[in-house]
Amino acid sequence: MAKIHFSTAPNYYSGLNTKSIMRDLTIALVIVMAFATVYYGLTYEWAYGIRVVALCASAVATSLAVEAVWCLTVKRDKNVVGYWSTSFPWVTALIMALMCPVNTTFYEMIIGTVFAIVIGKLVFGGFGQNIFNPAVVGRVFMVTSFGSSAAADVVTAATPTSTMATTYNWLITDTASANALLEKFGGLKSLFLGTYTGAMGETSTLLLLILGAWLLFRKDIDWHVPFAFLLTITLSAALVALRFNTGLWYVAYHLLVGGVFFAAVFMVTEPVTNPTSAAGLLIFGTGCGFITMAIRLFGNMPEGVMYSILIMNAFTPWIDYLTAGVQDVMRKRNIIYSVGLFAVVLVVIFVASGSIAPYVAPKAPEFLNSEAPLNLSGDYSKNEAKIISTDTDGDKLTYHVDVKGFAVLVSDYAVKEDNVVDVVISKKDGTVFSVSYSKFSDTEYVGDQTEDERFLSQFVGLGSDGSVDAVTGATVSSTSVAAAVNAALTAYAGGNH
Amino acid sequence: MPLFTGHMKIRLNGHKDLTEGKPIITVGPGEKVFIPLANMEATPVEMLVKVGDHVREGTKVAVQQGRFPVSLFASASGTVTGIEKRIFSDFKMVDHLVIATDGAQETERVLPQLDWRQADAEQLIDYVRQAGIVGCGGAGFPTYVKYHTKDRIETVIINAVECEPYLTTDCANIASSMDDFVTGCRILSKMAHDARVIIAIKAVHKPLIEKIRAAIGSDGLITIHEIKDFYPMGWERLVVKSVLNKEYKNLPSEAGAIVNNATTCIAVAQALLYGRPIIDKLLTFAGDGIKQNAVVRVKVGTPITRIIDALGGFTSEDVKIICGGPMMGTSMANDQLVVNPHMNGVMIMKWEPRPEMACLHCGRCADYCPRGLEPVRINIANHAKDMEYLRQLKADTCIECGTCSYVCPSHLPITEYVRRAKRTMKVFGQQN
Repeated sequence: MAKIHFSTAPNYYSGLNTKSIMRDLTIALVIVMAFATVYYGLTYEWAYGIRVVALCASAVATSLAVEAVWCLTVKRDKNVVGYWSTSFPWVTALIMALMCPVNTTFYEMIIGTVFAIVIGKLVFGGFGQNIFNPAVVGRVFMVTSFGSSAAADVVTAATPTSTMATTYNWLITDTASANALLEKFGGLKSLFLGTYTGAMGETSTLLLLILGAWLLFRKDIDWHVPFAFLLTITLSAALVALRFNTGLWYVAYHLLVGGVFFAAVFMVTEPVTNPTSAAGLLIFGTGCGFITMAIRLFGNMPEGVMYSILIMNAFTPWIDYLTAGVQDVMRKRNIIYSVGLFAVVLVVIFVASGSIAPYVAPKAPEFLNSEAPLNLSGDYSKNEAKIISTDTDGDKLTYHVDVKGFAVLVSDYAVKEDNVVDVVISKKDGTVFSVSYSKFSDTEYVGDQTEDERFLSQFVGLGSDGSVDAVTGATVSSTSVAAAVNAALTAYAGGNH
Repeated sequence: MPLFTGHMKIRLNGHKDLTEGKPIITVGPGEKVFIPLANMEATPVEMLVKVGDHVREGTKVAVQQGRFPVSLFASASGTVTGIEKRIFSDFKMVDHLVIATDGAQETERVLPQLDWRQADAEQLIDYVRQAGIVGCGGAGFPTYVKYHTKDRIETVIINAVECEPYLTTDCANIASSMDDFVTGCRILSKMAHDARVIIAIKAVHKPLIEKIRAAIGSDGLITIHEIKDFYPMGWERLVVKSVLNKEYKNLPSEAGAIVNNATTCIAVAQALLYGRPIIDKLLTFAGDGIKQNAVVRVKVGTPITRIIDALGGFTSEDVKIICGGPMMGTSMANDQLVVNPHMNGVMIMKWEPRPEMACLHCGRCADYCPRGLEPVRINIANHAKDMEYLRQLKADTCIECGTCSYVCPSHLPITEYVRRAKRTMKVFGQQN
């Protein structure tokens, strides 16, 4: 006699399962981690590759531990594994870890994970109840709390985002500067493939595209938000590009850097904190794209993707109210809302972009244009070059030369101080090995051109044998450097070593 | 791919091949039949027989009173032995008239002779009322009521879509009673004052469509409209929209249409041609909980346990018995169910524990809801007892098709949550 069970209709189900969605996400995140491991291992040394795994593992372990404690104490449930299997803490931990650079300390990672899980998720009631994306909450906490603690390191290079933001103000109009920027990171191709140093998981757009397509195909993520998000960024950047005639690379740059694709695949698709209707999702994605662009172009933070998600999360209940109703009845209104918002966003970006000051490339250094040759054996008496001290390091002899430059001789500055130039002479052949400033007092607009490597390198290899006319560029500042080198070579020739 | 709304329909695995085109198995009535003394409403019943009376197949045993009276008939010859409470297809316990069968298979014709070709619409509608014909799509709404309308009817739509998975009853009925089916279409046309007839059927039934096309004749009265294989395309509203491209507020007659199920159409023809009310039924017995999946020919009142035994019994110790299709059918609390006139099938599914997880708010339920509702938000609004939000979400317009529970990756009984919200609106909605 079989037992008859009762269950409410329907009694037929699709194979969809939250656990398999989370499993797919985990697989995708582990692939991203593996890519970062291999990249850092091959580019730097394997210790860095292992560090990627160790950082992710520490975040995952922390998240599991925190949820286990929560389960045992607050939930009073002894079945910790069962709790984990319906709470998926490791997904949050992995997303957060992959948003961090590889030189993040373990201490930061662990504190950040605890914050993400406890404040971002558990205090709201755990999985499914949180109102802000927990991974973003944790990462923002790390950035604001430990922003300057990163240890100096071989991989502490400037990222494409920070360089674009701090040096170029997110707007470059001349081709030379654009090429200089792109060259620094190996060109758009490198940005697309992800062969540069940035946040661990955010670099490879190609990999993220493939994983995103796979997750879409598996119906694990919804396409509405990434679609609206990427479209808003693309069209906003395109409008700015058109207005300032920057060229297409500018649009590509906006899309490729700053974790835009990582966010598009793993962050803005987080369903718990998103609206639920199609129109709501479009509005959410448009908002994320707009805030990202607004922070980049007008804000004083280097990057806006994370903040855009947090801000739009706060709008989610309101968007849900706005779009609630019968979808096909509301269709017309929802089209007006979503397309209207999209149009407003583009107009705002276009109008406001008029206020952005494009990066102005410094004029070519004067010494490069100067017709007059510098003559090392000329008369530099007015520079009053004096050797303050000398250092010996192996076969290198360093003269610290105090010399009067533009500040003292010409300018009307309040503080007129001498420059100090370090001239290193190689004992092997008595020629100049390197020239650098150890103290620089000349003006920003005249003198700093002589700091340029292209200027200073002209002295390298010069000896006292008179091959001096090769150095060109007779300005007051450049002359002072020549005077210092002259003094050093004279001293060397005079046996002062 | 819709951009501003969800898909609002879903393709699901119909498992129709399990029973479609397979031989029909006849199961006899057994020692006792139980005639349900109820239809869709629990209204008083006027009894026409008493204990000890001899009844025959076709004897009118009772008339259900109420807004829409329905006649009830004996399905086998034998002796009335009493009244017994058994579970009915709507999960309520209702009285069933118990008839001890004598195996004589005597028949009685209570319906008068009427030539449908000569009769006018009023006569035909009244005849259908007397014959107790009810909608065989599953709801059991009396057919004659639909034709008592003040709206001008231009189209009678025969709903042979059968979008529920597993069910192949309508197709089996059409295939086995093709001539009656076509006659039924013509009778329904006359009942609607010579309206045209459009048969809505899923395009996937290619061979059957060809057979119908050959049988309907070339006078153009009856045409076929092929419908795409989505769920719930058999929902009246979607059928009308698909066939006529018209939408309506309450009843299809506002769009100039009456929608009748294909099996109902055949029942109408058989009443007029042979004077037989709904006594014989074709039913789909299917699902992973029963050994043999088949369409069976049975008498009204046959206990389903008898049919299940005839099909080899259950495959599992834990099963669910569902009256109707697996999406919208009602789960039964026991196996005491008997065949009733408006049934279209019984699903026997294996029962497995289905642990729930927290709602992800993924919005799949909203994406696929054919009504365009947002079940996830309705559930949240119901928890908050936020009547204004529930009204804004139009929770009361849900048709309980089950798509939201079907797609839910967290395995939540979200259709049930929406039912609760509807009850909340009923209970609290009137207060403000």
